[in-house]
Amino acid sequence: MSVRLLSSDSEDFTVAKEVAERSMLIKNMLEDVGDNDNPIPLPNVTAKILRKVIEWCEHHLGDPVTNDENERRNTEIDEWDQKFMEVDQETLFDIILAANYLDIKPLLDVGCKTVANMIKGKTAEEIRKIFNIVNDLTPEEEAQIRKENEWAEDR
Amino acid sequence: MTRPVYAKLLEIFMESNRRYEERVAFQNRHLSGAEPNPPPVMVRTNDQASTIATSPVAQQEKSQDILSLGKRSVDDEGHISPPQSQGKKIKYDLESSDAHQRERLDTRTNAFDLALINDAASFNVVLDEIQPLPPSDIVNDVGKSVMSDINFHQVIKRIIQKCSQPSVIDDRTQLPDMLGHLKLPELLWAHILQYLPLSTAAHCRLVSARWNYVIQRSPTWFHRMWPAQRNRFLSVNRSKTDLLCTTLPFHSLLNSHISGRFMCDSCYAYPKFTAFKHGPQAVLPVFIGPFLHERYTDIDDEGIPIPPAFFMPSPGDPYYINLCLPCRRAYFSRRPEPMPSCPTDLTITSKQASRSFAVFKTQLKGRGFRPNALPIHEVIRIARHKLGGDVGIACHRSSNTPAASPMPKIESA
Repeated sequence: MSVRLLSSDSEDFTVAKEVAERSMLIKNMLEDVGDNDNPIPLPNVTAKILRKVIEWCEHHLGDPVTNDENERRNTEIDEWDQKFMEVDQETLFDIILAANYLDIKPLLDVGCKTVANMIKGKTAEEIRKIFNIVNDLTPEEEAQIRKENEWAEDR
Repeated sequence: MTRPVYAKLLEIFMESNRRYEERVAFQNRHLSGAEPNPPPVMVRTNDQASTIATSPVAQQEKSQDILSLGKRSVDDEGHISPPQSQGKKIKYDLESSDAHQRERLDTRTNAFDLALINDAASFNVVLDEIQPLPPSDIVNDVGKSVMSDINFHQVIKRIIQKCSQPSVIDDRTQLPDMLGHLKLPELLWAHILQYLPLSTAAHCRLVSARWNYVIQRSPTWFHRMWPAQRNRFLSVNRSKTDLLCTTLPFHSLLNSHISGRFMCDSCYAYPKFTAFKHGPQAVLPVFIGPFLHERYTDIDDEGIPIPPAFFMPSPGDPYYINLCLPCRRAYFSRRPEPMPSCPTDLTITSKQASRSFAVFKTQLKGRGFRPNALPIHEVIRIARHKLGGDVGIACHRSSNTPAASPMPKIESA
């Protein structure tokens, strides 16, 4: 059985029901609506991003669902996902937003871990460059944060 | 407890009580629809502001006041809605909602919580369950416990000492939901930052005011850190831990150095080992920066190759994370260290292996090695697993060698 999805730019995608049900949002919708030929509109996801999301869902179709938060957090990104996430920053953030909107937790985790890996081992200045952030902290605030971050000797 | 501390407590009690009563009166007035129209406008004098800044509770309330100006507005029908600029149309219908929801809104008046409620309505972010924030009369609760439990005074002292300086959250970090320069909402950033080691997250506070805000106000950190930190506050009653963990400022939990012990960035445990006394069993700094050092190129007096020098990095160094022995093993099993650069045909004696690498005869038994000619690469491989990477080996050597300084502290580049 297949499901039709309609992206924000009106592109129609037909996918297997099992693939579409990786998204909790769509799964709940299908449960509510029942069998229906009408496409499910996804106004927050463009065709480009929806294609990527469907590709990910098809690849991870049989994956077991983990509810253990610690396990999810500590699992490394597998090789396929690493390659899948080798996209420009804007697309990466769009995938994260789409995963969040469609409620696909494993995909959201992969996206967040990818961004976290971009941050790890970088100085504040390097992070600002990567994400094009303007430093709006005053020197006094910076000094205060540095002071707060210090390892205070406790007794 | 000393008299000044009592005086300080009393001062905080009075201030807290006064502001709590003000807030209750305000909520009764506006949420019940008695005075539906005007949005909350609170005029504070400079004197008040300076008094408020002395306690974290008051500071939360200060931020709430600021937020209540921009974030919420109460319309004619008693609906609370976020400001138009956010572009999110969420309404909390107080009239039709059940009593539970109303109570929830009443008690959760903290600004960040409201932001969470707003965000959660429009984004399906999977964060940990939000910890209920302490009621504004928390200081009274703490005060009662001082009266009933004499050991609790240490906790109070610490809270007062650590909260005496206001944290760096200024007005501009409080208002918008979006980071501006990026399309991700704050809650998703909070979700991303959860995947960082604690020390990296602490360092990320320096990126911008908004990142500082996101990291400091994410309740997840408290959940993660608190179980490991409970021992720091030995006499805290179990029933009060929830209360206290949301009262403590973020940076007080961050201060992970206690009498030579560090908190593990990954599992948030506090092993009872110090690098000085127990060597590799302690939490040690692991290099995660972009450079790959050549390893084991230098040799010591006996001709044994030595790992990169062991030192404690300066606080806030982004290239290091603190990991305990099990976490180091797990980390290096995922990211193996580079092969040693020393010659592969180099051999050492079993005595040298046990002294320098803590690798004993039994661990090499049955592999066909001669006791006085153990291949260095095999010894290093076993030692890395046993001691948790090269940093563990370096720590073992430095704590084993009387001449070596155990924990030389140098400034990183």
